[in-house]
Amino acid sequence: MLAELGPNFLVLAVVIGVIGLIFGWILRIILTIAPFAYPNAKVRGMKGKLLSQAKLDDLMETSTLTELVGALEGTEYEEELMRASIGEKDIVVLEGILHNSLSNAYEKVVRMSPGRVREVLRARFKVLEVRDIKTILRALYAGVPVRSALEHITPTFESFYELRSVEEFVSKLEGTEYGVVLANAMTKYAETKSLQPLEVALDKYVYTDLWKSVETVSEPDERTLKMFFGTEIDVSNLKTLLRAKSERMPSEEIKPYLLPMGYAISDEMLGVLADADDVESIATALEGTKYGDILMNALPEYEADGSLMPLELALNSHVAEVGKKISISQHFGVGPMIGYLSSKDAEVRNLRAIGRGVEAKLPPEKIKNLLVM
Amino acid sequence: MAVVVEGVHPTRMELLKLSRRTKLAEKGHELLREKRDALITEFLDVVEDVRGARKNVEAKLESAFRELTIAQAILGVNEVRQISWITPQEIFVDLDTRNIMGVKVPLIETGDITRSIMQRGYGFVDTSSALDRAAKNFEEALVSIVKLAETEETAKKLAAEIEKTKRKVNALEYIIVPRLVATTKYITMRLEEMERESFCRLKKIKAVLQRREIE
Repeated sequence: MLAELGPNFLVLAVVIGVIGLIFGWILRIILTIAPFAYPNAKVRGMKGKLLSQAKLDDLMETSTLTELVGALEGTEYEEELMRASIGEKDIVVLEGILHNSLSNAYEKVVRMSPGRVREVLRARFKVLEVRDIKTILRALYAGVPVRSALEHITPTFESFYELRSVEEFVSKLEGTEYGVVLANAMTKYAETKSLQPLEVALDKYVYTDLWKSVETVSEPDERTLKMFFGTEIDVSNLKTLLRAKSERMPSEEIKPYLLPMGYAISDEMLGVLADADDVESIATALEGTKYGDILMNALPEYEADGSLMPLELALNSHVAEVGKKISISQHFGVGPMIGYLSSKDAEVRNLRAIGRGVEAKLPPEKIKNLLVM
Repeated sequence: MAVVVEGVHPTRMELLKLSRRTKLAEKGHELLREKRDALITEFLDVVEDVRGARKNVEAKLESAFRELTIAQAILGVNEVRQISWITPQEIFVDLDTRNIMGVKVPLIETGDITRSIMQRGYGFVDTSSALDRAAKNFEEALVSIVKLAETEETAKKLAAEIEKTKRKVNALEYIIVPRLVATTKYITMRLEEMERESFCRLKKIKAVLQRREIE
């Protein structure tokens, strides 16, 4: 019987096996993408509310801040803007609204993201949190009331309003992750009487924490997250190097300010770049890499007037571009979330630039040069 | 017509004194006039410097404010304001004086007050090269502002001294010297008159004495 069924059975067994394998593969894919299905659908909805290029062009054409606020009617900023009733001199209020909008976007995405990437996005959210901590430190350092420094920011730091000194703030943070970081940098703060050691320690801490959290995620998300946040870190280090080298700072003075990790730029490469003589040497050392191409393309503008802005904007645009690419290539995974957060970050930067540009009566073409495209 | 100095006795002694004073006043007038002319020449040069320094400051501030606007657009007005709180705000200057025709004018030395990024006290991660450029432009503008302050103060002091000298020259030229000359003239006339009176008196006495002798 078996002998009779032999070849047919074998074929059947192979077919069942193949179907099983395909089913298993599909099941694995479904299990991988299923947790992202709902959050990604929501994120796509949120992304639909982001401003189009045409809208940004319209905003650049406005001639006053009031007109700009009017042009933002019908966008997600409308409600907050109406509540704040922004006048001609209220650029800081507009900036506060944009800051809160970005924080809210991060919080929403963190809340809805599946467990395995939530920690990474939360770690990235800390970069925004650290900005507020820096605001408090700066206010205390300068003797400005913390309440007024945080006036237009969502009130999450009321417990610090009555503090009077940097030391008080650091001891109040005792037991928290930031408390430890700041306490370790206090000796240098006491020596230099400058906030720089505290700010550098906070920056290094949040990015190290972010990088560590990326490494705990499994494939394929790890690759995607590393690509995006790694690019952000590389770009941050490159911008630091460019600024330092434009002032011909020696390697040993620059190194303490670099974030101690990289994605496409290894530690060894960072060392080489820190040893470079000038901005042109950095671009040459990176020749053949994506960053090399970006810098080489923007170099003529730098050489024309000595401003690093074209190089910085090109690098910022690259980060936004990587975010967009990830959003498309990983559209069943973490891609849409990264894409949305990256686009939201660029939108907030662009609106801030447009707001100040309009207030300062800069012509639209000049404002356009300051935007992350 | 100049007024005669009050309370002057028409004596030869006084005439001699007045003659000496007049010579002194005329010499003083001549010296002060020369000083005034030299100060004016110096003042015109300084005014030219002030004009240049002011243009330089205006150009530097215009460029600095343009860079500041860009930095504010990139980082936000609030962020830039916060960074300004933590940047060291003192600059050290050497104050001295120099002498121009006896006028003490200030000499302010700032040295190189442009700072490196590290010395400005802010970190790299949240900031931008636009901020570095704005800060550098303002630091350069500050050097020019100090230079302008020094030149303007020099111009002010020279102008005050010119004004003072001019008043002295005018006082000598239009009041003191004419008054001394008028007084000298008055005394001379008075003495001549007294001499004539005395001569007449003597003539009369002589005539009386001759008449008595004849009688």
